[in-house]
Amino acid sequence: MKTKKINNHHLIAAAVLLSAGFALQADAGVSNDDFLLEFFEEGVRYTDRIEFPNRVGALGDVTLGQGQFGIAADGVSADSTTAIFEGNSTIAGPVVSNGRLCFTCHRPDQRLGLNKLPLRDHIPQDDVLFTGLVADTGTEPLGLVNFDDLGLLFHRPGRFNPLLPETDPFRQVFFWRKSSPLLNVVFTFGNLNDGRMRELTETTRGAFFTHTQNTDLRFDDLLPLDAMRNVAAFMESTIDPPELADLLDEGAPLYNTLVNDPYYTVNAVTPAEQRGKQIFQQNCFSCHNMPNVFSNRDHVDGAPLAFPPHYGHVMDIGVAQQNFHNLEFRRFDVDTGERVPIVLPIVKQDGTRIMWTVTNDLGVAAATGRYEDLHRFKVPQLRRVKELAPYFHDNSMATLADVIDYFDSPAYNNSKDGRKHPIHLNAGQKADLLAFLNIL
Amino acid sequence: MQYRSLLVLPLLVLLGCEQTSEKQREESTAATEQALSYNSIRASMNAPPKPFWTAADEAILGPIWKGNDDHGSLYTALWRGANAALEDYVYAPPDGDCSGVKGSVRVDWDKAQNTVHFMIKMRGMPVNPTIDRTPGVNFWPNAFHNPPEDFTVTGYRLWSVFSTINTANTKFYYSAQTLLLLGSEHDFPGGPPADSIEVGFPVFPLISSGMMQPDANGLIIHEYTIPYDHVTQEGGTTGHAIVSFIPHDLCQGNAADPTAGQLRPYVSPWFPVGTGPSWPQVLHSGLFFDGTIEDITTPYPNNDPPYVYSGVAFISNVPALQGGVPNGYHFQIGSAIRNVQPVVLPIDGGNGLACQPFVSFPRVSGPNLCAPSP
Repeated sequence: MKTKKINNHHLIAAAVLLSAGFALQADAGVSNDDFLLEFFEEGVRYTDRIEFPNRVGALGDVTLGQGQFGIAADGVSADSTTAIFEGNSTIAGPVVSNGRLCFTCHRPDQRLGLNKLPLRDHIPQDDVLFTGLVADTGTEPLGLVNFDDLGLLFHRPGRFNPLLPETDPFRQVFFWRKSSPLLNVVFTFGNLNDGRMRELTETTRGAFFTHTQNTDLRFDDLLPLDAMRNVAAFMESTIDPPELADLLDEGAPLYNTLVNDPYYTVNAVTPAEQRGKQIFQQNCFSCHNMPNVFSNRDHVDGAPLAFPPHYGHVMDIGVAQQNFHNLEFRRFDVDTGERVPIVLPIVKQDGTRIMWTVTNDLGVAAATGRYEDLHRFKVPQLRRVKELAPYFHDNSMATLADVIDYFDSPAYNNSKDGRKHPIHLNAGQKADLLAFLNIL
Repeated sequence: MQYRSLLVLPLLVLLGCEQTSEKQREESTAATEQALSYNSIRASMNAPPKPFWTAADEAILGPIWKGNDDHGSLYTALWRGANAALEDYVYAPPDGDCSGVKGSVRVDWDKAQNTVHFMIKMRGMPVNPTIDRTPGVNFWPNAFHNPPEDFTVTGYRLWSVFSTINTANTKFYYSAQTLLLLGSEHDFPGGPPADSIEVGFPVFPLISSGMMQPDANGLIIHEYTIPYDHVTQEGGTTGHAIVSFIPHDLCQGNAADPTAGQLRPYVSPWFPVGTGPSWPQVLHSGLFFDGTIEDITTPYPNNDPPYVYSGVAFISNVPALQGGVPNGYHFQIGSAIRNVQPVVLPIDGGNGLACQPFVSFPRVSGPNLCAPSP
C-alpha cells in the first residue's frame, strides 16, 4: 500500500512537472495553439506591393461582359440575351438554367449588390431571385426565410468537388453568407466573403454552377473561358471613385499620388471628418491598408493560380463566433426531418486531427480544412461603405455605428486578429470615425 | 481515486487552455509539443545553417520565410508523403514505422553573390531502401517517363519543383492520325513534326540535389550551392528538366474535366546550364520540395538519368502552401488541378507506427471520348 502511494505521488509530481515544463517550453503566456498559429500565419510568402496580378484586364471585353453579366446596354435593366449558359455538357449532361443572371443578385442600383432587406419589399415574389432559390438552398427549410429576411444565401463550399463522395463532410458543410456588392472588387485579393476564390473567372464559374441549376454537377464546358473573362472584366470595371483606376497601372498619372497619399480621394472637410480620419489611420488602417480603397493589400507573392486558397490575407475578428442571427449550422436530413450535426475533420499545423462539430460559420476553414483558418474572412474594401449596409459576412450589423461598436467590443478585442490590433474608442471618437466612414 | 483526480486535474487545465468554447474532439495526435518558441526557431535563421540536426530542425513544423527576392531564406519541415507527383509510389518502410522520419530544408539566396544555398537534413531515413514495384499496380512506365521498375541499391534526392501554371504553356505535339503524344517542343527543336496537332500545357520545371546517402543511424546532412540567375542541378554541370502531367492519348484526355481523364507523366530532356529560370522566378511560381528514392546502379552523365526522376517519393513538403502540408497529410494534386478544396487530406495509416505505401493520384487512363456513343 505504501509503495502504491509513493507511486501515485510520483505520478502526480510527474504530471505537475510536465505541466510546468510545458509552460516553460512554450514561453510564458503562449499556448500551443498560439505557437501553431504563428507557424501557419507566417508560413506564407506575402507581399504588400501595390500590384494586381490576379486581374483579368485586357483579356476580357467589358461591353460583352456586361451583357453576359445580364445587364442591358442601358446599364440598369436586366437582359438575359447572352447571359444564360445551358446546353448539353459532357460532364453534367443536359443543363437547364433556372433563368438567373449575375444581375439577379448583383443589381446596378445597389453597387452590384443585393436589394435592401427584407427582399420581399423590393423584389416581386415571382422574380427568379425567389423562384430559382432552390438552386442555392436545396432541401434546407430555412433557406427562404434567411434569404428573404437576412439576405443570406445557403452555401456549401465543397458542393462541386467531384473528387470527394457526396457524403463527405467537406461536401456537406454549409454556411449562410451575404451576396457581396462587387464595387471595387478589382482591388481585393481573393473573392467571396472568405476570400477562397483567387480571381474572378473562377468566382464567376462557381457562381453559375451554384445559382443557376439544382444539381451538384459542374458544367465547365458550357462556360467558355472567354465569357468568364468578359464577365470578370466587367466586374473589374466597376470602380468608384473613378480615379482609383490609376492604382491599376504604374504608368498612370495618379498612380504615385494614390500610393503615397492613402487619403488623396477622400475629402475630409469638417473637423469631425478630419478627426475621424486620424482615428481611422490609428485603428483601422493596419488592416484596411490599400491606399484610397481601404481593402487589405497583402497577397501571395507570385501567381495566384498555383493552388487553392487563399490568395489574400484573411482574418478572424470574432464575428462568426458570435452568430448574432443564431443561424442554424446542423444539416437538415430530409429522410428523418431531423437536424444532424456536421462534424468536419480539420487539421492543426502540427498534424493533429480535430473532429470539429460545426456550430457557427467556419470561415475559410470550411474549404481549407485547416484549424488555423477557422473563422477567417476577407478584409473588404470600404469605399461608399455608407451605401453597402448591412455589414459583415452574415449581414449581422445593420449600421456603421453598429460596426464601430463591434470593433470596440470584447468580442473583437479578444479575437485572434483583434488581439493584434486592439481598438478602444470613446463616444466622441466613435462619432468622429462614423463621420469619416460616411464620406468614404 | 483522489490521486487519480489530482493527476487528471493539471492535464485538464492544460487541455482547457487550448479548448475553445465549443467542445471539439481530437481524433489523433500527431502533435509534438514545441521545444522551442516560434521566435527561437525563426531566430535560428539569422545564423548560417548548422551541419547537424538541431533543436530547430526538431521543432520546425512548416515553412518560415524571411527577406525578399534579392536576399532571403526559407526554412521548412519535410514529412513522409506530404507531396508527390501523379503516379508516384510513396514509399513506407517495411516495418511500417514512419514515426522517426523527418527532414528539414533551409535555402538561403543572395542575388549579389549569385548564390542559392541548400542545407538538407533528414533523420530516420531507411538505409538503402529496396524498391519493388508491380506493373499495373504501382508502376506504369511510359515512353516519355521510363524509370527502372525495381532498384536495390538506392540513394535519396531532393527536388525543387515549380510551375508555369498561369504564366506559360509548353507546346506538345500529337499525331493528327492517332491522336497519340509525339513529344514536346523540346523533343522537336526544329519545329512541329509532320501531320501533328499542337496543344499547350503548363509544365513543372525541376532541379535536384545530388545523390544523398544516410549514415548508419539514418541521418543525412547535405549542402550545396547553385547559381541564382539560372538555377541548375547540384554541381552546376546540368541545367534543369521539365515535367508535365498530360494526356498521352488525346482521346482519353478531358479538357473540361482534366482529372476525369488521362494524366500521365512526361519528362523533357535535360536542359543546358544557363537556360533555367532565376531563383525569384522559382519563388514566384509556387515551390514544392519532393524527396525521392533513386536507383544508383546505372552510371549516367553527371548522374542525371534520362528518365529524370524515379517516381518513388518519400519525404516532401509544399512551402508555397500557407503553413505547408502538416505531418500525416498529403497534398492533393488532383484537387489543385480541379481547383477544389480541401487541398490537403490525411494519409491512410498516417505517419506513425502503421504507415503504408500509397500511389499519388494515378490517372493512367480515362474514358475514350473518341469512341462512338452507344
